[in-house]
Amino acid sequence: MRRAALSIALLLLAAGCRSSSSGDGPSSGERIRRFPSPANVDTLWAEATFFTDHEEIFDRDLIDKEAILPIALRVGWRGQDTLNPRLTETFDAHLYLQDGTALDWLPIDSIRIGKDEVEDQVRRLSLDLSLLGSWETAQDGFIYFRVPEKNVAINGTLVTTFGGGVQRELDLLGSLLAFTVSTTQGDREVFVGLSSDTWPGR
Amino acid sequence: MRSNFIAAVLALPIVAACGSTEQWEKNQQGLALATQQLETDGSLQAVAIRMQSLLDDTQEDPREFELQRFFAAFMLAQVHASASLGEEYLTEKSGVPGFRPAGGGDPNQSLSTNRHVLAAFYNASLAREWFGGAVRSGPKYEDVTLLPPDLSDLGVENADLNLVLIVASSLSRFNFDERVRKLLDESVPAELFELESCLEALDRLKIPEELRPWVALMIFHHLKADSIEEAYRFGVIAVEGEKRFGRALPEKEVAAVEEWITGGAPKKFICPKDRLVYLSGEDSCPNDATPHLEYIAVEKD
Repeated sequence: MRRAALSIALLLLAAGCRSSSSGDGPSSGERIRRFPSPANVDTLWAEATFFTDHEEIFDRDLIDKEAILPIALRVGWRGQDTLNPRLTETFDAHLYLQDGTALDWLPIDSIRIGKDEVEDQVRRLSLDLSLLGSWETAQDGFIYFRVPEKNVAINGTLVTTFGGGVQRELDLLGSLLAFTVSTTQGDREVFVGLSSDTWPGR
Repeated sequence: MRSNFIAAVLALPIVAACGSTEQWEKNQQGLALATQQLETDGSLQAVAIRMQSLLDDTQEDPREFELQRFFAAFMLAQVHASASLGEEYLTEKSGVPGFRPAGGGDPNQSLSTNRHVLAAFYNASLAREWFGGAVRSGPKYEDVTLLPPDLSDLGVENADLNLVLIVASSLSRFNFDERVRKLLDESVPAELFELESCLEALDRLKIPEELRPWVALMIFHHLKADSIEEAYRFGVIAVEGEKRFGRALPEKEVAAVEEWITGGAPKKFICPKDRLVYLSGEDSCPNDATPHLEYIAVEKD
């Protein structure tokens, strides 16, 4: 009797007032909302990677302990280069989460970490702002973004944002990275999605 | 006895919710106000807040509100697409040394086009995921009509095609050309690749005016490899954005189209009356005022 009554209540809970329509099968939304990486604008190519083993790379969980998100960026040119592309002080990187939330880029000189050896590693692995080489020889260098802890929590590739009393779950790999490359024909804004990988080492 | 009590308590919220249509009515009113505000040049930000609030209020039971949530995300996509083209209100930190925002304000913050493009893309993608549920939803819940007349007249299928164009133009503005090509090939009907029917469709689909030159530009790029004459006509419309739609494309985009018309294309475009070639910076033949749109393609010498 008790079991029957509970079953009826649970059935009511499951059914709700209106009959729920059947699902559309596995959602392809996450895949659809991700942007390409690598990506290019003319001869400039870029690839942005979130290394899931970032804690081992820096010997510290920068996201959890320092509210810093490390993203590896590889940039170079393909084919015949006539634009003399370089990364300069106008690099001005932005990381946009899926819903448009922007994380601020932290220039390397502005980063302070209590542990010297971790800070050294952060600097050693950072992206050089200099003349760009060919895509084939380009290497990953890290750029860093401030995680606003009041509004954003990152756990693996799951991002939770908080605001207006509402919590939203986003896919970190659906984020978009934007930055500027200087060329002989003016500045070019480059956009690239995020992929994930494990660190191959340098 | 106790178990019966627990069962009754568990079922109570369901029964109570069944008896109320308050949330559906509130959503309908929110959508009606939002469409009204958009049509009367109301604040884009106010519309966005209203629609985001609808999504937040209904996120616990998304399937109960599939049609209304679809159109709330649709409206958010419209708002952010429009805002990204000259009416930005979202800001971001500017890392460019010496940056000073126009009109003063926080020297570290600038208006962000990219945030709006991304938000348009995200909300359009969300709405498209909810398309199946929106199609299956009836127009009413009990005696509540779920949509205001404007959105009901537009219909879910037209709204979805509108969203495809917003997704594609967002990808295009981020230079993801291969993804744009694939999306246009797979999801856009042939009527959009012919100029006259495309212009009619843009009206029917309620594509924001600001976005129309970008749609024309996107279709120009899509057609120029295989359909030179039609690509030219879309190119002319894109170049004449200010005259045709009240919104001009950035100079860089206009220059790229005119570069193709005057040299990059495998054919040349001439006035059918005096055979004068297309001249950049004009919108018609300087000799006989034949509009550029009526020029014809001929083999190069």
